[in-house]
Amino acid sequence: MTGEQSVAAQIKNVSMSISTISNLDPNTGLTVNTPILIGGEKLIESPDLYNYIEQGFGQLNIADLFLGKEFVLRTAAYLAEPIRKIDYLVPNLYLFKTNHNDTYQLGLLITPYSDINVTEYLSEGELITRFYTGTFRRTLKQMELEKITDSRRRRECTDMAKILLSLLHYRIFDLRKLRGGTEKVKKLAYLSAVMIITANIKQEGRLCIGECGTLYRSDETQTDTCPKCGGPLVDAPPTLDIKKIRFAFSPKLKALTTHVTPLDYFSFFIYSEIPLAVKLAIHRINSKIFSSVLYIPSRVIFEISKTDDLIDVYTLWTKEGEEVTLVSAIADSRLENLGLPSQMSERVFIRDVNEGLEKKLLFEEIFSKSILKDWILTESFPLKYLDEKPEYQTWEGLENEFG
Amino acid sequence: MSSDEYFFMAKKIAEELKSNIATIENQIDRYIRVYPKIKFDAQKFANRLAIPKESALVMASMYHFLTINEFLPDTYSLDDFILDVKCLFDSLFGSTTGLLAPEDYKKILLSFVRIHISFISVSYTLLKRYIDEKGKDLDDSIVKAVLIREIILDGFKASFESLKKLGYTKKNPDIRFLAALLKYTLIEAILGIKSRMESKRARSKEDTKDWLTILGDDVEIKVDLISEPIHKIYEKNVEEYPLSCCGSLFFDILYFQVLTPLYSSMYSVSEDLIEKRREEINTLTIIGDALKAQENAYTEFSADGSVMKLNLEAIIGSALHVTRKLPQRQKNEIERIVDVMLRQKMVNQFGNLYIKDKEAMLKLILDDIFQIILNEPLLALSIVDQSKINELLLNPAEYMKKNKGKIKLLFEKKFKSAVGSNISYFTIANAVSKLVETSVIFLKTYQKPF
Repeated sequence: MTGEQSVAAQIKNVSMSISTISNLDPNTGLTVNTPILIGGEKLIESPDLYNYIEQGFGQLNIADLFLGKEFVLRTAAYLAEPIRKIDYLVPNLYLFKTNHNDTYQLGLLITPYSDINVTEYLSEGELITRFYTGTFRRTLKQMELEKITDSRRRRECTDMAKILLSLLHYRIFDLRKLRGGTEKVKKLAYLSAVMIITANIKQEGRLCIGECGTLYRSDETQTDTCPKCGGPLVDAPPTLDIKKIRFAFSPKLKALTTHVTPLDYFSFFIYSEIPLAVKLAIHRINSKIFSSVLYIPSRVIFEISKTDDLIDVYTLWTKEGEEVTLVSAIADSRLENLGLPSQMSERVFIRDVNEGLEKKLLFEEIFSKSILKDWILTESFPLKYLDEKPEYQTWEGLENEFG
Repeated sequence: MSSDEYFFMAKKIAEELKSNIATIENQIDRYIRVYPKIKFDAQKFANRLAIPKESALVMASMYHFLTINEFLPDTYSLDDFILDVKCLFDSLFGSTTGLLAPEDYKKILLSFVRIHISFISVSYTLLKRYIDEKGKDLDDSIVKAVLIREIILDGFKASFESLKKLGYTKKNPDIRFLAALLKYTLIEAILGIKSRMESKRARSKEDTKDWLTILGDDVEIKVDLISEPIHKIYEKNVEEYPLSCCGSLFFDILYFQVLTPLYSSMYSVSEDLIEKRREEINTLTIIGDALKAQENAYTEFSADGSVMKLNLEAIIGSALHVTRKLPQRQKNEIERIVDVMLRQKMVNQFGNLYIKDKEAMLKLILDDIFQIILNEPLLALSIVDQSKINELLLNPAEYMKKNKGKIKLLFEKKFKSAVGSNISYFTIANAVSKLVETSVIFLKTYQKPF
């Protein structure tokens, strides 16, 4: 009877909201994870795997995803590029990471919708973390006053997490919210550089989606069972193998030599990738789908930890056979007084690139006709030069090489 | 007036008067001239709250403003209002209430009244939205969460901020007081709807000539709610809820202290409207499906009841004779077909998907289901007495022919009991799928392999 189901209902059936909330248990002082899964009845490969999938998300080290770096990936949209035909509504991935006091949360949305508003999604995620913390505080106080037991306290917190995530899921799929619309801007950012990346799609190797999560090369094992832990071995998810890169940047960047180097900007692209541990947990949901889809970060927003600056990376791409060409525009809120184009102009530029790519124009031509025509456009060079050659490590150096 | 209009009007009145509050300041002198009692009441304020007379006059005027404009019922005593104001100050300043200038007291009271009125508006909007969401047969926790997120939260947050901005102390306002104020206005709104629905029921009893309606439901709607003054609700909140601040607690306190205790009363007073809304949604769904059927040539959904019955028989036949099992998917399909069949029959017979007499609704489908049992005697496995099962299995068709009358009576009795006292499309469809499921289970249990 699938002909009868509306498209919205079909999409809802293969969509899923996931959240892992991590905070300290007041009694033991140890980190406790609360994984919550909503929906996904027709997405999960088999209902028997449900506990196993939940376990995967419960085992993630969430706080780790936040600490240790100068910046944190706050929200991202990963759009799907299937590498083979699958008989399915192909899902995209959306992610947020939020924290409030000592509570950390990783949120994921798996859905065929491609127009989820990521800033709104992040904002709702922030509310969830805040409200969860409220329930946590209240139940903790009630436990201290001996009005409720510890197990009741934990149950109430878990129930509240479920309610809050179910609410978000309902608002997206039944009330049609968080889709399209204007993006909220926390701080103004300025278009500072564009990267054009050439990469090959790589799919090789086998992945253990059991206990150990080991990635094996294709030649290392032929079986369907993991030699280490006995878990199931499936095809590893496809990845991008980056070959070459070229930059377009404003001459005004030449004055900058720290924190905003070509390698720094390229690093943002690398850090956009879904963390491996999270990827493995997602893979357990349906290994058939997730081994057939390449996820490309189409929009990623980073927050600089100490200030409230942000880096906003917007990526378009085209695919020809095994080769993918990505165009990433980077807006940086730290570069306030350099007279760089605003994010409004970024939209215009992206539109120009889109048209140009469709018409299969050369980048030189696309740039020369766009608002960035006075920017410096380098040639393509191997990725390793960014690391190995000093002249490729500053904007001035790049200008000298290619200007 | 329809319920929509009622909600809209209540909300509009609240909003209009809210914008008039600024003028109350100018009207205080006029109030005192027109209502000399205010001077007398002001003395009570001055004594109880230890504040200067000028400030007390403002407070007494506020009380009359609220009762005259029916934001508070006329049964709301001055003494209760004085205690409310005391709690307001406690929640703003804690136990130390330093002496403020009359101007400051006025600002605080005005803020309080503004918030009160905006909460009245929120309460009515909330009840209307509640009916919409509940009509969709959602989990109650989601309904409550949606109401908080979409109707209450912004206004609650804004009210908190406006109290905080009064800034006379560094202390954050006690959110339990705000929650008490909202709970009060919501209770009043629920009781308001209750009396309205009761009048409606009484009127339809009077107007109708249909004796079923006259002898039918009671006019009175029973709710476990009484109207309590704000300060009493605040005291309870302080007793039950251990924290007073701040933003991270909004959802929690609104969910557990405001909505959950009132939730069943909200249902009781809105039941009639919810059922109507449910039917509206289902009708739209059926119309939508029917339109899709016209577009899609491949569909098995048919407006012809006999085709649907064939589909039902096919599923049952397959479960009993071929697979010997009934997976969830098939169960859902049975329920779906029964649901649609019944709706069509209802429309054909009564011209309506919703009738008061639920027994008649049940009777409509009984004959059809029994006809299916006649055609598929193994279904009787879940109906006949256990001692007769072997006899039935030996020769189902023969047994059926011989005991048709008895089985029909037994079936009707069992089916009605399975549906229960709450007769609805859902419970009837469920009873049918359960009937099939039980028969399949008994078949597997009792039939000896050849």
